[in-house]
Amino acid sequence: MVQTEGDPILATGGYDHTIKIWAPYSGTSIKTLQHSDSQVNALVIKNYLAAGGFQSIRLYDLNASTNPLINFEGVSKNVTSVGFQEDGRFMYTGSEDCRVRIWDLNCPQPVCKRMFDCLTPVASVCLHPNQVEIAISTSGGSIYLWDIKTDNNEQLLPEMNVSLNSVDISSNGKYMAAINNKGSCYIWDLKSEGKQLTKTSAKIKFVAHQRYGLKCKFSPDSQLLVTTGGDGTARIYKCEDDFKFYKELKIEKFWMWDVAFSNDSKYIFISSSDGSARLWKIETKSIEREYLGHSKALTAIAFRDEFVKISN
Amino acid sequence: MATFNNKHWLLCHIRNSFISTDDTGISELVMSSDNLAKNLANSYANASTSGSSSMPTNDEISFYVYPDLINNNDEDEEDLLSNSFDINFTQEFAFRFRTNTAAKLEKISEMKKKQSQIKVVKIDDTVIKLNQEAGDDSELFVRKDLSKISLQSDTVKSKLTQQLETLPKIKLNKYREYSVFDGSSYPNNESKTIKVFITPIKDLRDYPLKCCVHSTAKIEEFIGYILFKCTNLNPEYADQLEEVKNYGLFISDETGEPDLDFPALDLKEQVSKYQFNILALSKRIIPPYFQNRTLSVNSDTTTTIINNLPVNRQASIETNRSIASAHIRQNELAMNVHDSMVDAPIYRAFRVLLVTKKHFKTEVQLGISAEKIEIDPLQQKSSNYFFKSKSSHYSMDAIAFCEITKRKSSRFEFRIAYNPLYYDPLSFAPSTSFAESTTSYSSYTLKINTFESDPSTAEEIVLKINNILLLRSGSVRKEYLSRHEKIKKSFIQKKKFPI
Repeated sequence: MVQTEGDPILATGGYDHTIKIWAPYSGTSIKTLQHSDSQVNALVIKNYLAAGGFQSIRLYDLNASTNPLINFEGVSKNVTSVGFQEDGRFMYTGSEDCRVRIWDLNCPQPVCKRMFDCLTPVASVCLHPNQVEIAISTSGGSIYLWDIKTDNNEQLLPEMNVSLNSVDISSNGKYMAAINNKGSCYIWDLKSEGKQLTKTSAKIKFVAHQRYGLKCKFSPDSQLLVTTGGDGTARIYKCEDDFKFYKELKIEKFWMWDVAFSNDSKYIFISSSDGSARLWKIETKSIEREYLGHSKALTAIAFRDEFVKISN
Repeated sequence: MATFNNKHWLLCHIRNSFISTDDTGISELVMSSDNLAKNLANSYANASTSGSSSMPTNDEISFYVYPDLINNNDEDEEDLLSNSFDINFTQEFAFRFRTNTAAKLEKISEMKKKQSQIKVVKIDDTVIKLNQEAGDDSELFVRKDLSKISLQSDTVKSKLTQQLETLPKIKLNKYREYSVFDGSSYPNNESKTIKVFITPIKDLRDYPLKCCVHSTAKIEEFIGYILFKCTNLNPEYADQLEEVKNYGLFISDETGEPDLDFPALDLKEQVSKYQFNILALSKRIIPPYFQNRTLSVNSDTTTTIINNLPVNRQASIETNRSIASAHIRQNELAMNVHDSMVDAPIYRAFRVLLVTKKHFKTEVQLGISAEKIEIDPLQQKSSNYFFKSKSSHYSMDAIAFCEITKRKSSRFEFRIAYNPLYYDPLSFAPSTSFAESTTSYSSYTLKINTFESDPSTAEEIVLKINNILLLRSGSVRKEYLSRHEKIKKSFIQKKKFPI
């Protein structure tokens, strides 16, 4: 099948210093991007593809060459998280040099407009759906909610001596979830009041994985929460049902590193340390596709779905 | 002709020698900017054109420019000609062994070229405050009112879901474990791109598939990757293709016809070992001799084994039909090879046709034992007395090689090459019964007897003789092998550097 513009795109990256672009339906690799000298820690696709690696943030144009379009130089440590504002106006990055940076992409040359210092290495960054607040989880175990516009911030410290590996906010702005290195998952209720910083209140904590927790993510319809861990499972919870356990997707032996949902929250892509990414149908827990071609562990996955209108 | 006292020639010679023999490249680096011979030649030329007004010094007078080494008309040409042909700074594909430095410099410049296409943004945390104050960010950071967002309507659907539901289902690729050998994500020195003709599938026979494979992959893994790539691009052929083990990679030319004179590439070798740009994927030919062979040998010591074997084989044939049992098949094959090795030295006679020089064929009995080969003409029905051939025999040590030359559907042609001058140490007589001269056998002359028979007999004879040769390895055979190796090497080299 020929990939045309407007088709969904899947990107995977990992320890083998390459990023592969896939046609999700056929499972064929369309393109391989060079990500020299560094593993890929985080990936995100908007108009461009952004990749965070060791001492590097790279922007790729998917229609152009396999080399990066823009290379951000000067980060001293791993860049662990990248993301775009919903219209692609700005990009945010979080790295182990303890800083979260906001990059204005409207200029011909991206300019760093804001910076937030967390004092501990940043593990994960997520943008609130209101597009001006950012949630940051750190390996020191704290969560920051930071208003980019006003620079107000709030720190939460749910537990001492753990590392919060991932944080996410549901797209309806109701919940925030975070997962730590011991496999525990925390949920907060969020409440927005005008232009004030969002209020948080702790909701529940539950053990999602027996081992390392790696990622937590809400589905685009805010109905499901998925957590992945070092025990080779991805566990799915129902948000509206008090985060009741819903389904478990399991592979043997390997870690499940990163996840991405389809737009309608029916399918999920999971990348794992056996060097492959899989497409699961959540309802049936069946593997629909396998994306094979990487030679080492896959730590990052990004998916850009497209909407289609149904005629009837 | 330059004489050794020509200063210009000497200077050029010294310079070239330094540059071309110093593999560290330091001489090249130092000398490339400063060409003494050229400078002197130039100053001499200037002095001579400026006329008598400025008297040339003694040095300049005696500095006779060697004509072929200089050409003042064109700067570039001059550069080219003033150096030896070995030294060529501009041509990329110089045949001279390139110095490390030159290679390194080229790499760096290539990287720089690549780098220049990539925009670089320096992260400088000190200017952020300034940026923040200078710019108006009210448009950049716009708070979105979440209460106004309507929930996703039912009339909109994910395109991925639509594709998965409406487009035909795709089976998981059975060769998917081989996908990790994809070399396209690696730099050129770690991967190899080879055009492969996939001959088992008719529609793909005419156009090669470009396969980029990681150079450390073994041939076996490469075959798996080719099959993976082929079925990934053409899922409809997945059912026609078999297990990786059943295929081999053969040397091929532009037409895609596998060259069956050469054996398939060794499955356990790395791809990087071979230099071929075009290969053909083809089914491995299992000699028909193995497929429908009946044991005819009988001796007391092997009775038990032989008695058991047909039973085993019968069983394995049945299992082959019911379940895919490559393992059993492989064992059986290994057992057959072993059998043929064991009974190779035992005398057997075959009825074959001897092809004489004028393409006449006479029926002969070919007797093969560990010691010798006997060719005895059989009584012809219509005895053609013009072409009556004598019976002959030669020692096994005189045989250089035995191989199949033509494979037609019904008849196979094979030939046995022997050294007619081989001096048999046991019989103190030349190996052939009718050879007249007894010159030393080291003079390397081979006589070739060509035979024709049905395919399975041909396979059996060639295998038998080759097995005996393996066990004996006489001097003629050794000499043949060493010569053959040399020819093969030079052939590969020729292929490697097409000039």
